[in-house]
Amino acid sequence: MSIDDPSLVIPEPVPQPFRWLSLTLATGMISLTAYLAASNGVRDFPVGPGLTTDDTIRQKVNHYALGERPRLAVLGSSLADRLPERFFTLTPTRNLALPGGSPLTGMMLVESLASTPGTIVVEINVLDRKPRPELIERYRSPALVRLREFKPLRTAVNALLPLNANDARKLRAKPPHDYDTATLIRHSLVALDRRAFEAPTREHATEIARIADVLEARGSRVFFVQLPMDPALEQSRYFTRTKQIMQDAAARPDRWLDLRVERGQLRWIDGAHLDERSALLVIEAIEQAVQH
Amino acid sequence: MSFTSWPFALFVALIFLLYYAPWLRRWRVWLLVAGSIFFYAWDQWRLLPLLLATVLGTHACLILAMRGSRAWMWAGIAFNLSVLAFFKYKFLILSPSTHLGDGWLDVLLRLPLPIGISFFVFHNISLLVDFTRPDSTLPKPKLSEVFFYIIFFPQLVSGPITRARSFFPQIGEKLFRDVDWASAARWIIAGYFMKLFCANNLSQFTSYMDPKLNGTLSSLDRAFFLLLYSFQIYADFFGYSAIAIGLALLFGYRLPVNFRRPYLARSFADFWSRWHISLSTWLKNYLYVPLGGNRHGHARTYANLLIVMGLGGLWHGAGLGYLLWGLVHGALLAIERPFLDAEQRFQNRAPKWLARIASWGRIAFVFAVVSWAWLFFKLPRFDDATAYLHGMFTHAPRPGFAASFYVLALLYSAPVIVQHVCGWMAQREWFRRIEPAFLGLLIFVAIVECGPETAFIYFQF
Repeated sequence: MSIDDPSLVIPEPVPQPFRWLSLTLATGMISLTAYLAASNGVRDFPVGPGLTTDDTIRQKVNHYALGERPRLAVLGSSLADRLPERFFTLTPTRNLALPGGSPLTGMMLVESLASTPGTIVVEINVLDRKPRPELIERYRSPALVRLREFKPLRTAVNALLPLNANDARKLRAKPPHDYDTATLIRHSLVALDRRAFEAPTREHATEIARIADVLEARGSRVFFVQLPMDPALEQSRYFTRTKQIMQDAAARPDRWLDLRVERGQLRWIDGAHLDERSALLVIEAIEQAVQH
Repeated sequence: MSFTSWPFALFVALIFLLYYAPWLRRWRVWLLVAGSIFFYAWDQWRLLPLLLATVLGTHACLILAMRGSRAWMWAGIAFNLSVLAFFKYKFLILSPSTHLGDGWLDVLLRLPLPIGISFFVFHNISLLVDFTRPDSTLPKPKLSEVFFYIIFFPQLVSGPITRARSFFPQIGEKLFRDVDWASAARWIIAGYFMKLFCANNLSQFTSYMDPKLNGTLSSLDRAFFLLLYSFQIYADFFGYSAIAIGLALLFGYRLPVNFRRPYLARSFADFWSRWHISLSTWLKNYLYVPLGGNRHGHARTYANLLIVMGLGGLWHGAGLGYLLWGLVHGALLAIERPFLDAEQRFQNRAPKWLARIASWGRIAFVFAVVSWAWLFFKLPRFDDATAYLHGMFTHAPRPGFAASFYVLALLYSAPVIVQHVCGWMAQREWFRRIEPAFLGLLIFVAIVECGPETAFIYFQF
């Protein structure tokens, strides 16, 4: 009869199925218990390459929320995300700028945690993107974050194979590298021109200014900065108006960082995002400005 | 209700407890039918009447056909194929922007693709054909049994496609003490591990293949991501099939095995005897053989292969990419066919070492071509697929990813490779001894190292 159909799965029972099943479940439970104990001891997650934008954001937020209280925190969008922590001399520095995100998300996270950084630098180039409060919610309890986010294999690989680290001195000695960005800048200008940005920018700027006051009352120093971009973009309506709106919202001029950087040395891979050498120069200018 | 969701785990636990409850003994089949209806309605309650109508329509045609008129069998098949064609291919003639009114046809046109339609329609056709064969010894089925066969929840959405003649003889008394716990656990744990650890993690990497993102990939990275997609689609579909097989075993039913280490195939014909076996068996039994198979000369055989594989491609979706994928496989089957005998003779006569090298060479070649063809699955729009391919052969210096990116990709692919290359170990006595601990570790890794929630790839078909 077709019940003997060879295409059907062949049962492979074991003599003592409940003992067998108990051993399986016990191994799983023991491993999970060991994992819970180990995850509780983790004080920081090494940041590896983001597999997706969301993955990058999650790693950066984990790194910030679970690590030690930083002396300097950088918040912002993908533009400030280009500033690698390893180039900062004020250690520990945490770069909480979120690619595809808003500095407001970072501000909300910093506000929600008990311990605040000594100095906070907020990149305000892009302010019209919505914040992501759901990211903040999950970091209310660090123990829960460790439990949900600690992935032993991933952590081991990130710890054993750190991201390619170019030496700062060698990088500075190199001449600037030119990129063909004309087409990308043209496309960006067209896209920016279509964005209805003023209302959300105003709303977010007001909220950022409010959180800045709260954080200053808790002992932090908060600075705003517009990162340099290709002049064609920097002078566009989108970026000039965004800066103006933020200046109106946070009226104190002492909060604005004046970056002293040689513009002719800066390069952007697409007109907006700094290349590695330029990021190093901007970091040096930021550190100089906040220590001034 | 996704297999990887907590509501599904609760649902299975509840159905399992009720199923073996002594006071519900007489109603076991109906209980699984009711559970399967609930499972289907959880996501698509609006399309439940369609599912029920196709089952009832098929049952009516079957009863009439079994009374003597085989014309009803053909009517039943036509009815099922019409339903499939309407829902799956309506967008070939209807653009999403087409204005629709309020008439009953407009309402139908507005309905989304019913989940699992490709699978339950194939079950319906198998039912009609197997019961009305002149040599069939199957007794007239009850309505409850017909419902049960077609909508049994582990296989309802994505198979495996079980032949009616293999399923119906299994319907009968099931006892709790007969449950094959070890086999069910093996399949379920392996399935969840493949889905959660391999497929879900790999989906993050292969998201770079999407048309909006792949512009930044180098030629080598494009090839690498194709390889990863091969591993992902296997892990994803093997995972689903394994969970389905394991769940069915819990209820005392044996479903067909869907994969037998397909990436070790030495020819394309061998690949199709190892990949989605229940679909290739269905196509062979209900399409290729009735078309004449290889019984009418070479030209007809080649034409049949192209027709069957082309339709098999279209079964996955209404797109040029799917058709092309099927035709490519049909053409490969036709092209290799005359060489298979010569190749076998070479294997028999050549020195062992040379035969082994040649064998691994063929495995690598088949795997490379099959992986390349998956591109039409990942990017079903023809333009997207050709643009991706064009980028693979155009030199454009792009920054690569960090070393740890590639290491992670290989780590998440490793279980697929190990399962293929070291599958023989599962039969060794020493492995049997450590098997419970090994499975326990798989549970642990699947929980703590799982990737982001991603729908099963075959749900869309």
